[in-house]
Amino acid sequence: MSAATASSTRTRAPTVHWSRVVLLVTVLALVALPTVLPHRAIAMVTQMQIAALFALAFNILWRQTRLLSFGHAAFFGIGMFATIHIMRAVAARSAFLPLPLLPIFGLMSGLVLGVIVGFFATARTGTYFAMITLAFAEIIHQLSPQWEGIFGGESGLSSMRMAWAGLSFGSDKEVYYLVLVWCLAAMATIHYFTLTPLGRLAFALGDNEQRVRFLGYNAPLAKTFVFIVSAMFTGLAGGLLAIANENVDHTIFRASLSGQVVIHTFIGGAGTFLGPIVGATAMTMFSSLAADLTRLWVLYQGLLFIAMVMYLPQGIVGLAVDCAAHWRWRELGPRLPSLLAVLGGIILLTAGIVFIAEFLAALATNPFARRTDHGVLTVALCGATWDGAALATWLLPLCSVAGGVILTRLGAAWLSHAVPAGVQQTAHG
Amino acid sequence: MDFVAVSLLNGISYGLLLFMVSAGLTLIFGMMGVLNFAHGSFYMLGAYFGYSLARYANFWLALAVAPLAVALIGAFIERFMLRRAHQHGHAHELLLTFGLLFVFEELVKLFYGFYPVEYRMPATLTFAAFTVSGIDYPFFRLFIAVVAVAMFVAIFLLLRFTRAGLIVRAAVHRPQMVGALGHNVPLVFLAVFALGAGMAGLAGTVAGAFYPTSPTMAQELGMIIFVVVVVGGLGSIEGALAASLLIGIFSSFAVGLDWTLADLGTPLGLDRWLSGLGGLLTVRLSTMASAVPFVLMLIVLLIRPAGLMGEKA
Repeated sequence: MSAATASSTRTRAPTVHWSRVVLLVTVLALVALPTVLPHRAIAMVTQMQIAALFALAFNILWRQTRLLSFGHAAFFGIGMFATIHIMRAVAARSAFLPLPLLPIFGLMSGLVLGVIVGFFATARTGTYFAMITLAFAEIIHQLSPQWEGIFGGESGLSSMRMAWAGLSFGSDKEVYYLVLVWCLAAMATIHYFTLTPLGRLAFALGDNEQRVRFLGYNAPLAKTFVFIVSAMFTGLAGGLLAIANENVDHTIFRASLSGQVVIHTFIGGAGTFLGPIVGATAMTMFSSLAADLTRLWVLYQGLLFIAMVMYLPQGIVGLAVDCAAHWRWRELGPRLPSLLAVLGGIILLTAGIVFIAEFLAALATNPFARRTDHGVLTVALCGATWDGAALATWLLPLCSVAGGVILTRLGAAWLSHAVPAGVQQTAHG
Repeated sequence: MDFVAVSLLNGISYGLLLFMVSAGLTLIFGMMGVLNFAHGSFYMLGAYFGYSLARYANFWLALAVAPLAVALIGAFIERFMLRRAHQHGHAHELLLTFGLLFVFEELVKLFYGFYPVEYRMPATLTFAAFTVSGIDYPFFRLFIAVVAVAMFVAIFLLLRFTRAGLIVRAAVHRPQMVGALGHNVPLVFLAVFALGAGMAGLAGTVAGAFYPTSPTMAQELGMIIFVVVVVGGLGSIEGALAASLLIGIFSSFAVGLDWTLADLGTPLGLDRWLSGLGGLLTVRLSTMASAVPFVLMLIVLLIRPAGLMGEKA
């Protein structure tokens, strides 16, 4: 997030070869993945890729120009609707276009909406910019259910993937590869964009807009262009989801989708290129897996987000970058105990909070279901039955939380003793 | 005529309710520079606390205790969360309140379930204030307005005529200068944040009994009060009052209007042709009413970001 973090990612030239190796391995793994994954998991990974592209496109604005948009669901949704309309035309034989090219229409619709919104929004900065994007998104959100011809009313629109060049696009695997190719191409393009003169100018705009103006650049115009690029790729991500899901309705414009991409990006690390990809991938997987286990996963995601805002503002990837920049392998040994203390503390804290939340949820949702003879409430959790009236039921998780907090704090304190001043500065910058 | 009178009354009552919630939001923004996404959550918490207290005790106790509880939560958030996020910058404070919005909604779902709860107004207040064209006008709408006006008067007197109010007003405009003069600005921030949360909580306790009390109420109202504080001018209490009444009265009238955009062409004889185009042009204004506040907010942001009565741009 900070200037220090951003510059440390920019100056990490010597490790670029390692990152190429990692990149190659990741791409190969992604190509090989559908051969080993079960059916349902393939669809999940497809969703993860789309979420990653969405977050990455969103973060073009946030990372480079420091403009926080709360309305990116608009571009994502418009991309979905545009692509669905073209798919319907293709299915009705009134247009002849190969399916793999259809996401282009998502991209183009995002571009058009991006020009309109971007022109107005980039006239302001900070809170006012956020409010303008929010207002635009909310206008579309409120109007879309009324405009049946375009947004399909309450039931939404659906279509089907038409076969092309011997590919039926009927299986999850074919869709997976279609999405993978588009996502990789788009991510590479976005990475290349950050290296172009406009991309570099965008960083400068985020750092000090006034200085950019003094240098003779048209700052609002440059910001508008960056906004359009972000909207365009967001529309592309929407187009890909339209192809994967084959249907869409007006709820795609809801404000919580705009919020979700903010959360994904922040958890991954908004100050880095990889942050949104990692954040969106991890959180989509987390939500998909956790939704099967507990209905409280949105609460856990919210708590995680708040904890990150307060204690780890640079995000997961930002933390990794900081560590890579300042730590040496040989320093790991002396730090290991304090690292383990932090890790153990976090685990204890999480376990305690999850236990209390699940227990309360069980108590609140079915207060009569498991009433015993003595009139006390018991809940089966973690393979054991817990008595709601017993002191231990509450004391145990509370001790776990308290112990976790103490352990994490102690560990962090030891860690900062052993760490040179540079890391501290970056961590709090 | 009756339609106008009843709509006007409804609009003023709803507008005053909006003001109760947005007053705290705009004060907090003026002082801390943070647009509090979780402010609608305070309104929701007030309603749910009120519901619980009214269920196990009575409505009047709820009216006294629920806002206090919400104010305490607000104080906790300011003291232990926002102050920590403040080190990382304004954007992080904004994000923190944004996360709180999600967490509060989920917590309410955890304890009270996904569906609206039956939070009813007390029987002693459920009577008709008067009758218009054979339809009883509920007294409770007037009660909401009375509570809002009482609160406005109290806040106005507090800000205008007390020493504490003087410091708060100064801190809204120049927090650093007030700090330099030796006042405890962080304490002022804490107090104003708690007060703002408490006012939103009071609004929730009162209005929750009349309007539906559900987990989505925080997000729905949160959006509208953003419109109110932006249109009124971020940081301006008088602006918030004017904008609240404007939006409240507009919303209540819009429900009864069946104009369409195509009707705009009537003077030019184009209405038939425009209706033929269909789409948004034939949608009735009453169904588009929910989008109009946001259009208004957009126009204000683009043309006069300081709002109706704000001074900061």
